[in-house]
Amino acid sequence: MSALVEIADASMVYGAGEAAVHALRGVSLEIRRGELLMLMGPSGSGKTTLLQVAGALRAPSAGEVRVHGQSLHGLTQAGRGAIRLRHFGFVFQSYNLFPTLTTQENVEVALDLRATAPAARQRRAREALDAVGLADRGGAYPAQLSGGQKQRVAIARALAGQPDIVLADEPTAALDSESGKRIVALLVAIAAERGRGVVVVTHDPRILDAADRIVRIEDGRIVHTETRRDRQDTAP
Amino acid sequence: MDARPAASEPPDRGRGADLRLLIAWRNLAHDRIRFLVTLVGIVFSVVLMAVQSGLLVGFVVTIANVVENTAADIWVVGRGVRSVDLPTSIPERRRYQILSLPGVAMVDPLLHVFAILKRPDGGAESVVVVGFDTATGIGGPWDLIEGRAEDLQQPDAVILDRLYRDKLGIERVGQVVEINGRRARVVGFTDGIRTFTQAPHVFADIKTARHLAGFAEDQLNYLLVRAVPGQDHAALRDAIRARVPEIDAHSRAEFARRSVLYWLVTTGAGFSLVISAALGLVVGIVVTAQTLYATTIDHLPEYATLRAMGAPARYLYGIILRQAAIAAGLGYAIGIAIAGLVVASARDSSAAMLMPWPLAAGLGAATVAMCAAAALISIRKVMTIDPVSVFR
Ligand SMILES: Nc1ncnc2c1ncn2[C@@H]1O[C@H](COP(=O)(O)OP(=O)(O)OP(=O)(O)O)[C@@H](O)[C@H]1O
Ligand SMILES: [Mg+2]
Repeated sequence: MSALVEIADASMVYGAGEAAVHALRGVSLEIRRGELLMLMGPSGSGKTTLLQVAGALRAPSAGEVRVHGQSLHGLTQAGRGAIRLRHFGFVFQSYNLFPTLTTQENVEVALDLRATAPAARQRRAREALDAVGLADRGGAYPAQLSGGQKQRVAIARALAGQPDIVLADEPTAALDSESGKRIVALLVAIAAERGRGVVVVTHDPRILDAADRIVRIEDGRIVHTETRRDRQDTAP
Repeated sequence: MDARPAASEPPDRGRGADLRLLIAWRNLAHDRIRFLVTLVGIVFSVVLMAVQSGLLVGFVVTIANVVENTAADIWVVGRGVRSVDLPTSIPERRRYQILSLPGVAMVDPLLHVFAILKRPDGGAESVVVVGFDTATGIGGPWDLIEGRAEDLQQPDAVILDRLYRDKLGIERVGQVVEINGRRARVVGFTDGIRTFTQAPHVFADIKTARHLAGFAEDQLNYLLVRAVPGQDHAALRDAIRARVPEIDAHSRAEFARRSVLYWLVTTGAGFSLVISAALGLVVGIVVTAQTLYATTIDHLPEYATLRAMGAPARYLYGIILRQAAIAAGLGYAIGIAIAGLVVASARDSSAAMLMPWPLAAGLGAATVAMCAAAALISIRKVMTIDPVSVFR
């Protein structure tokens, strides 16, 4: 089965000359269907940058990115936006919900972006909230929710558009361990669905256990990759 | 995700059918003080534009009213006459010269002369005596609320406008007044025939008018020409110009426009009204642009999130334009209501302020254009948002 996203020999340089920062140095990575991929590494190692490159948010300085086999090379900002809208769901560390909208409306935004008719939009948003266990909080505003609940709304929003790739950047970093657990469980469940690929940047050890593949990145390079099978093989 | 049966959905038809309108509204309502400032700015602008342009329309209508309300096809005026209020004399024999031209059905004389009316309390006011042929009625008063135009066939009879009753010290029909030291009797009132020169019109039979003004029997200021049916007015006007010496001939619309332009341009009244209206527009744009922009800045993280999610540019500026449209709609509604009150309160004043519906519609368009222009800098701002800024 073809990969959802293929990153081939991608480099990313911020700035130029003396001040140039090499955030990625020739990274190659595939995001596969039905896979929960965990990305870890020290601060400043390039995890977020890699996620941005994989998610069509940033064009790499060098190298190639393909989504569903389609090269993103030379796409305009609008072209990359269309790819994101079509294939990606994003979950941010800081939730990024709309404070003036209810949770239901926040989720509806993702569907409205995809020109979903109002009735279907409302129904599917309710279903998405239900799936993250917040069916009864549709009328609440983000300020009335806990951090964990907010992140579940954000996940509902990311999923409502039925993306086939979900990218999450430290989704549990701001959460207490109990809330974090729930988010981890959700992400694991999401990856198991419909051949979806999920990439999570995290230091959360609970994801470690559930991950199909763990990629460790240091100083802009992938330094270690470990699959579930590797771990099972080395298990006593 | 398991799909729930649609039947269990609570009915919420209509709610937020346009989600961006909802977002726009919430963004605005989020900061009430700022929204209020926005509205005050727009309302101020609408009222200012409405009052200035209403006055302008009022001036135009007032200046041209005698011309526009006279059933003449062509106005024959002394050569060089630039406004209906500033006529010169025309020899009476021109009337017969014009009558002899083919295509002319009727030619009526009109007298238009300044005079002094003595108020009962002894004060003096200048008036314009309009003398017309009561046999044909051409050039006579209109919109009478008391008396009839035929009453002017009585000796010394005059008709005035009710708006100037106080100014002229006249209370009722039957009252006797003194014009240029001669006796005149009020036999009726018109409703709303304003004067731009501040000298009210006094309608009278042309013989009465000549008597009051102390003019000779054959003196006149205008010849009002009616063409035979089917006659081309422009051709007849040209024929009169070519065949009759020392006069100008204008179609009714031309003479009305000529009079209006004369006053609006020479007095600068038109210019200052247009400048004030334009100022209203500029103030509205600046205040609205400023507050819309502040609202946009407040919600930049959300716009960035939308960008990251892949929202097309038009989705983002759709929100901003909806904010502008909400502000424009509310501001216009309040502004035009206030302007309507001002217009209503000016109904009995000597300065006309008119708000015909095309003007009200034009102001609506100006308000929408103003808010759209104000939205531009906000749109520019959200277009430059880096979608990666949401990943920190
Ligand atoms: N927009 C930018 N401009 C310049 N340098 C940047 C930019 N974004 C990231 N960098 C630099 O690139 C390097 C990689 O950053 P990145 O955010 O990808 O790291 P990270 O692994 O996500 O770190 P963290 O765990 O702290 O989030 C860092 O040195 C960072 O300072
Ligand atoms: Mg990071």
